[in-house]
Amino acid sequence: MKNTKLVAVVATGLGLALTVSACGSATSPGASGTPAASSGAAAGTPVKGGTLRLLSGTQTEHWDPQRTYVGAQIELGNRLFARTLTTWGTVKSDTEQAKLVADAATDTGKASDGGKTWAFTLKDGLKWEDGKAVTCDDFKYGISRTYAVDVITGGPNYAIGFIDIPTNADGSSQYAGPYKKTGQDLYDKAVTCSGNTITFKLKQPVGDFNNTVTMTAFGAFRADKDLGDKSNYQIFSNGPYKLQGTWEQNKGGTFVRNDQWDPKTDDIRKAYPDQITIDESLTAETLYERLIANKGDDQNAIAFPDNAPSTALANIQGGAAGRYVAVPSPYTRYLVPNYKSKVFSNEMARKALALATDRAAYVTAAGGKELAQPTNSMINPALPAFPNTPLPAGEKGDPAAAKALLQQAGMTLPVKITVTYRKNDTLDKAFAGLKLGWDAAGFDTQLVGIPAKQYYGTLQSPDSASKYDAYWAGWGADYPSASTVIAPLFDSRVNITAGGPGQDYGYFDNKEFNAAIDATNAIADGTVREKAWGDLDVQLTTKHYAAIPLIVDKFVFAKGSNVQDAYVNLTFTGYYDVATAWVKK
Amino acid sequence: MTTGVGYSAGTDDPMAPAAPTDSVRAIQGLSPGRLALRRLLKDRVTMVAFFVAIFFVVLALAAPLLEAAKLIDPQTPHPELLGGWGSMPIGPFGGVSPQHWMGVVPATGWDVFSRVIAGLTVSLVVATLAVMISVVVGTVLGIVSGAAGGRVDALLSRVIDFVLSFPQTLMLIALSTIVIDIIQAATGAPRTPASMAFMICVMGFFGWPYFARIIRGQVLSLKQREFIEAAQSLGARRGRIYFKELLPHLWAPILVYTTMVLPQNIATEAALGFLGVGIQSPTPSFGSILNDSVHYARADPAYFMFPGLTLFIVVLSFNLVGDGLRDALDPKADRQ
Repeated sequence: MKNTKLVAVVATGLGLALTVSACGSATSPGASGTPAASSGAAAGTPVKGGTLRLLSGTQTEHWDPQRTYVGAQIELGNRLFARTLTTWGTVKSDTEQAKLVADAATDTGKASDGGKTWAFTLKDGLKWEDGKAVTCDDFKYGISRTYAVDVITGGPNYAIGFIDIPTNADGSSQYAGPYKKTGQDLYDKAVTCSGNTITFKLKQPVGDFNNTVTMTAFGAFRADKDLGDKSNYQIFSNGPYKLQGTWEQNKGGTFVRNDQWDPKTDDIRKAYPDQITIDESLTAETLYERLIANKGDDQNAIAFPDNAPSTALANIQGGAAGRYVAVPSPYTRYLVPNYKSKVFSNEMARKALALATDRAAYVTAAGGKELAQPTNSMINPALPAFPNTPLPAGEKGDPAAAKALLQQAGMTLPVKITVTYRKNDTLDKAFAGLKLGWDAAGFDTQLVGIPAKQYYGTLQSPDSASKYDAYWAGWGADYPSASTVIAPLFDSRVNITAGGPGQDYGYFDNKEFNAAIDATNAIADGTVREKAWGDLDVQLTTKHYAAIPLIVDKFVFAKGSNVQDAYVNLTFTGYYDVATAWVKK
Repeated sequence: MTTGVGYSAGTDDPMAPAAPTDSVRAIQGLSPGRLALRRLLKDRVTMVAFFVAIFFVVLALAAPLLEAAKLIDPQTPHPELLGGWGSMPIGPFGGVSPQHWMGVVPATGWDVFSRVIAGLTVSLVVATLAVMISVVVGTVLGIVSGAAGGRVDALLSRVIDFVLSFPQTLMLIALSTIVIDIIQAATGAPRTPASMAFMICVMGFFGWPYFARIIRGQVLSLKQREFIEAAQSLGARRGRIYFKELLPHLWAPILVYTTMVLPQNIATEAALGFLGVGIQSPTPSFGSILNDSVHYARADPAYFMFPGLTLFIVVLSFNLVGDGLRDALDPKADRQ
């Protein structure tokens, strides 16, 4: 379920162009002024102290660094208690692009052997909250936990994919992690510690491996504190804050200063507030009501990680003037036709669906033209690979042309289809509009809204292949490379098993396409490689119709009036970056 | 109580033909039905409420025709009427205009007036069918319980207590998703008919004990009457006594309580829909409309006010009709 999990997206020139063009059509001054509005609010010199409150409507699934794959938790984990070898720097405005910087390491890594070997040297003075030094072995142990795929679930498996450890015939790694210790010698050969330097040997050159290690899954873990599955909410800090007491699911917790953390070893985390509390017992609606009202302690609060729900958008410009920001979301919302369904195994039916899709209705439901844009590319505009594929039949679609296609395909109209979406107010309305377009083209659409908690689980269940004809989904890149979009979604080899379709929800299975993915991965030159990913994107959406991209939306966040220097870090997960935030007294 | 024995009208009968002299007044016999009707016609509030209620029923019945004739259109989006963040209606009172009497829905531009009328149909169908279930089950069990007496009565009375003590709203909320899924899986019906069936069954099920109690009380007093004893001594079978002798005397309370439970059901559907149970947007019903509009209570209060006001008038009119009917049919319970 990486769909909800985004690690990093770069606001490149293209990303900025999106912002600018979206603002160009803005009639309301608030929309074009949002970055300035938020930056303008920052005033005065940062002071230490106070409590920064994080208001959340989203339950934290994991705090275990190796099991963290949700952007919000990756950012908080990294900023509060789990330092990584490299990380994304802080920003001074909501549009600034963060740079890759050294964190626990002294630099951003040294590649050798053409990118097949990477070495990072740890800084001196790094300490755990009990005063013991953070060692190279702690990092080595932490990363090894990813291999215990039966215990350490939910996190990204980049380590398994990249580090040079042979695989079994079924694709699993020959190393089974630090608990079973099967194949430990293989791991010890691939990841070595010499003094304070950790060295990774990779299967193939990975030019941006130092981006990959920004993920907390590549963070340190103390072997004597490892309780396996029970470590999920046990936080053992090497950063500026530590958990006070225990973490309560659906409620939250309080982070207090970790006196063992030495600010001299850390250029990123300013750690101004004395305490950071997280309240995850709220809903997005209530927390934005509270932030707009801006009363009492809520003046010291920020929305994290929930963006403003569509129903709060109308109030936010007037009610939270100067305290909100609209930033491009890292996600692309798209529709996947199911290749196993009778209807959409037919390419002409898929094309008809694409032609009849009314993206304008979705844009309206998602909050209007200032907050959403129609797209026909799987790759988000913020990524360098964005191919900007033209819409197949304008914003509103062309049901007449789609109908002609269906008739040409020899189908009896109306063609019954069942389409699923994640149930919420916005998508209820968006899909009511999309249905009109599809029905006008000769489909007879039945909509199934599935609650958010079960949504991706349902898509990945093998039973769904025979029940539904098309699915709504959303995806954002893990880090600024389209390799984390096209391959994880459409490479049938890594996705489709007897247990379900993985993230290839529509069972798109094309040998030539898989071969093209391999060929693209092998391109050494970054610019050429990203362009090739863009070409593959175009193939998916205009040749195979394996995906119908719908919209790219914007996220709106709000904060209380006392919170200063909290900027949305688009490069690093796209939420408020707590590293620089401070609370005015 | 109406007994089937004719009363004679009083001398102050205004409907009586003008008499030539005071001493010779024409004495006219009036049936209790006529009497009740006369009382009803004199009750101005009830008559106004009655016509309002009839108007809504006609409107609800006509809604599918109006929709077919394109006079109302609850489905077509009007993005051109929306603007700004959150796609809010342009113009005052949620975008009220000659074309859109109650404005348009935020984020889609659906016509609120059309949705209220289409929703009225859905809500009234659900409420009416639920009342019918309650009436049939409640009346039959009420008669049986009251007339049979003894162990049957004791058992049925405990069942009534049992059903009445169920926390209906909590049950509905807890069960709705699961049961609707089961109905869908079993029948292959789309979501909306399945939700409607669920609401009808549950509201019908929880409504019958009220009827059963009232009917039982009536039957207990009726069965002491001579005509029942006569029927029994003539050897009439139980079924005949229940449905040929007792039932005709029960139509008044049934009518009164039907008109009073109907608005209660409309309100229940709205309340549950508001909580996200039952019929869901985009299918309009009072519940689903209010559920959507409450999110915009601050940004677009008109979207909440118009459907809310309509619901208020519908429920009030049916309640007043029920009250008026009770007063007319049961003068002993007159509040004067």
